[in-house]
Amino acid sequence: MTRRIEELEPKEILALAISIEQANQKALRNFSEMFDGYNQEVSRNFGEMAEEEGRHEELLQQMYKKKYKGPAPNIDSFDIEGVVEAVDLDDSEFLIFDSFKAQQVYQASWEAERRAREFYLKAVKNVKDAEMANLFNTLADMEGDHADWLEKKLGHKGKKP
Amino acid sequence: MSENINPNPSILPSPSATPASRPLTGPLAPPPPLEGWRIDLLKTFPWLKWLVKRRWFQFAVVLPNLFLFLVFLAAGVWGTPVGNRNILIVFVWIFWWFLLISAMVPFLSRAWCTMCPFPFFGEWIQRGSLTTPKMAAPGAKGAKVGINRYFGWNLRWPKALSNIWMQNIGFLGLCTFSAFYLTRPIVTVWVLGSLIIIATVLHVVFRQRAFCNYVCPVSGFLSLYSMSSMAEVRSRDAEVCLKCHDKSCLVGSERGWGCPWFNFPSKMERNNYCGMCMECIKSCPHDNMTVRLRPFATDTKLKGYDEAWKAFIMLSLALAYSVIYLGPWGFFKDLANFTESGRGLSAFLGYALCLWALPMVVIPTVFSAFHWVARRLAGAEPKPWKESFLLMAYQLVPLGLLAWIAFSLPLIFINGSYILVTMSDPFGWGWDLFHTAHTAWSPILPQWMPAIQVGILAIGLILTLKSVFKQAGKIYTDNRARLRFALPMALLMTLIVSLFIRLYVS
Amino acid sequence: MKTREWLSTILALAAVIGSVALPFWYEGRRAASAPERTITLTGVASSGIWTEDPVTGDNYRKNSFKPARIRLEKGESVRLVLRSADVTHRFYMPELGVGPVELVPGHTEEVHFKADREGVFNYYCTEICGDCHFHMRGFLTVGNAADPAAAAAACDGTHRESPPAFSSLAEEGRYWFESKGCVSCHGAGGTGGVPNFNYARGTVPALNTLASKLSLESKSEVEAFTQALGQKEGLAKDKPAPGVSNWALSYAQYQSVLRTIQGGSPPLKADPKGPEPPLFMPAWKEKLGLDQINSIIAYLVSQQKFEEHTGWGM
Ligand code: SF4
Ligand code: SF4
Ligand code: SF4
Ligand SMILES: [Cu+2]
Repeated sequence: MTRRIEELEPKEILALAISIEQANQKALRNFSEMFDGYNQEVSRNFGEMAEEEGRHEELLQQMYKKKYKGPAPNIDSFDIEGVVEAVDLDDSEFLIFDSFKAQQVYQASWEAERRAREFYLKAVKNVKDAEMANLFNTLADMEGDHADWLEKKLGHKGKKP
Repeated sequence: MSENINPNPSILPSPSATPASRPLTGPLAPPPPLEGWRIDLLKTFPWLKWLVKRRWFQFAVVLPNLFLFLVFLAAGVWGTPVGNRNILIVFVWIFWWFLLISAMVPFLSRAWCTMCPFPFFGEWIQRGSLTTPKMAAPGAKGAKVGINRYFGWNLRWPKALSNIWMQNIGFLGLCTFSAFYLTRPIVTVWVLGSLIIIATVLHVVFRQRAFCNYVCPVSGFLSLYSMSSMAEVRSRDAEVCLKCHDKSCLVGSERGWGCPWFNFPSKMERNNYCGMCMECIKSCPHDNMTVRLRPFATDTKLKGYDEAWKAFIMLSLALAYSVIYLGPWGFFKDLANFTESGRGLSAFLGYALCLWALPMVVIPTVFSAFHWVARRLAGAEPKPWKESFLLMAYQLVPLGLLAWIAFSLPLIFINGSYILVTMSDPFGWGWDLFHTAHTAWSPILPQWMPAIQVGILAIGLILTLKSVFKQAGKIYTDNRARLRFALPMALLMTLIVSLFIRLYVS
Repeated sequence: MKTREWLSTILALAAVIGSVALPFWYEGRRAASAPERTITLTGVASSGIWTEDPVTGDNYRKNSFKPARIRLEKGESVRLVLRSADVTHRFYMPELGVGPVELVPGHTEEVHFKADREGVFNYYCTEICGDCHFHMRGFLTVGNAADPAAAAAACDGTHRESPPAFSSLAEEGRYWFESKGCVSCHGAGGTGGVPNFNYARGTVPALNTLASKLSLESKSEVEAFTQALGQKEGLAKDKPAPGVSNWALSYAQYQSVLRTIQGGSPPLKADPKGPEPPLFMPAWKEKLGLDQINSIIAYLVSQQKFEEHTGWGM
């Protein structure tokens, strides 16, 4: 039973965003472990990204607590139509040929943040409710901040993707 | 079945409407459209899906193979030393090879690796389990990879060896001495026995299937020729994978191990390094991995010179073996088997030198020369040398596969009766299990053989020529340049095939 | 899912153990189910042997098996399983009515016979199967008959390497006589006596009286003749060797011996309607050069015992 994001309550949207950050943390930790003993720098970068997502989650949690009290319920992003934030890797054979670069971790995360931002921005257009629009904009901004942060990371390494 | 055709799902509702400051690359870009038709086998055959999703599936297909394989080894040790009466020689080098090259690889990709007994013991030790995936609980013993737990050292495979050069060299090495183990069961036992031992040791020391990906000499040609195969393990819907936070196909889950072959199955776009273990099909929480049927020769991308050289090696060996074992020159056969023909070590060394020089130097040089001429002829704004080289070297993949089939056919048609005999009397001890022990030696269709071989080669040539002209378009957009580039390459392919035809028809 | 894991472990172990145990169990059951005693003989060309040991890839390479020594009860029935480990052999045991049976490598042949008489019975390979072919002879004993004094020496393969240096022509001759397998029919030192079924003379002729046949009547004459044999140009009719009393006769006899060795000779049958005797003198001209044959002749003439040397007159 998939729902469109516009059909959700603001409360649920926030809860969804929190679930996604949590899931991302888990995924990034797993990646970090995959590369542990393989490519230390990549592994470290994934760990760093997981922490960053943790901070991201923290912010959202605070927001939720302030507004709705109590812990946020877990909402599976698969129940929502469209794509939201999830980190993905773009090559199937990077482990085989040991060709994954530390930079690509940021690149992959950057793309995830961008995707999330696009998702929220698109959702903004379809809501009438002001509170909802506000929430989407806030989320989009947060994702945008993150994307900028990552862009800076990518820039620091001297390589623009 | 037409509803199974992959509709090339779009990932984003409308990427163009977004304020993108940079072009979409990586996972955001939609995957390139699939060429040709696909049939989702797991959707079409629910029983197959049920089967491959069983935790015991791989164990159940390996077990009978393991048993038979060990019986064959026992026959090699205690059975008759007469090569073509010992089931080890007949089944491994004649029957297995034939099945592999002409049935398994072209139609089922690396299905052999699903049932292969070589890594059995190693993987058993490494996983500490035969059927149940182990989860890495906090404080549990063993190493954590992804979210599964493994035993052994789980070392990373050295980066310098993260290619298939070792397999290339191993395979050539094995082929150099083929005449020794083809006739002596005990030598075959040593060869296969040491493979098992090496596989086991490497499984204990390194992570997952390092042995299969980088060392196994059989793996090299399986990976190369599986590109042409009609079966593939792939993800169904890119959007589902994009959304997926678990990535269990890579990191594992309680339903299945993370891909033991180091693939990220979700993004897999060629068959080469997928051992068809079916773990990703089990581990994916979204039921997004499947097995599909597709047209012959669909993967077309070689990724490095190691893979290109593998194509050269396979083609050269098909050529060399045709000369040695089928050609009218017993002389070469004698050279290959110097201890029996009494031709002395230096003759053998000369033979070995030829065998290595042909794929490592001669054929690549000829190929490069043609390729160089082709680029010169085409002129205008060429893509990098490596790109067009690899693309053209790929053309030798389906061609080589068909050449191997053409070579192996007489092997089975002529020696088929030995299969019946050894089946009933595997040790040469006078058994008659299936009442076929006294089958007289009789070649099947010897008079038709050259015609069949030429037919196979002709199909290969037509496919290759079509592909050469088509793929040249990936390098030159201009039609004239494309044609001028393709012509010399097409000429080379035609020359190679006519060489084979000459060998088989003379 | 503990059960599944246990079950798979047991199955895996069963596969490993069963793969070796099952074939042997089946083979054992087959042998046990036969009503008669089973004797398995494998012919091995590379060592010129019939052996009861199982020949496998490993011991074949090392050439390490013993010649068969079979002793049967009188009246015992036997299922004889015959194999070849390498090339085609032909098993023949004429006195007990077995064979000849062609043994194609890798195939197994079965024959049945009954040991209904006491005695020593020879069996042979009657297919020229390689350098060690002439060694491929064995015997089986029935009842209380005594073993023959010495079985033919196994082919030790020395002929494959280059021969050692020899201090005399006779010594070289002995080397060829033994390594080429003459010894296995003509006996140690050419003493003869090997039974040859349906052969007019019963046993293979002795060769240790060759000197007399060549009309060499004393030790010194033998030495003179040997001296001449060893010359580079060999013997010639018009060049009598000094010290040989009847050169014309000796030379003529030498020529006829040479012809027999080089060309071979078919054995005369005792019973003209009976089977071909299994042993025969093969033609050696392709396998032995004139020098080698001369050395063998030198060896054989040196084997004759002359009266003057015994010290006792007649
Ligand atoms: S790569 Fe080699 S060892 Fe591994 S499964 Fe395939 S054939 Fe067996
Ligand atoms: S686990 Fe399944 S859905 Fe997730 S990435 Fe892998 S194949 Fe795709
Ligand atoms: S897990 Fe999937 S992709 Fe990896 S080897 Fe097995 S079947 Fe292939
Ligand atoms: Cu013989």
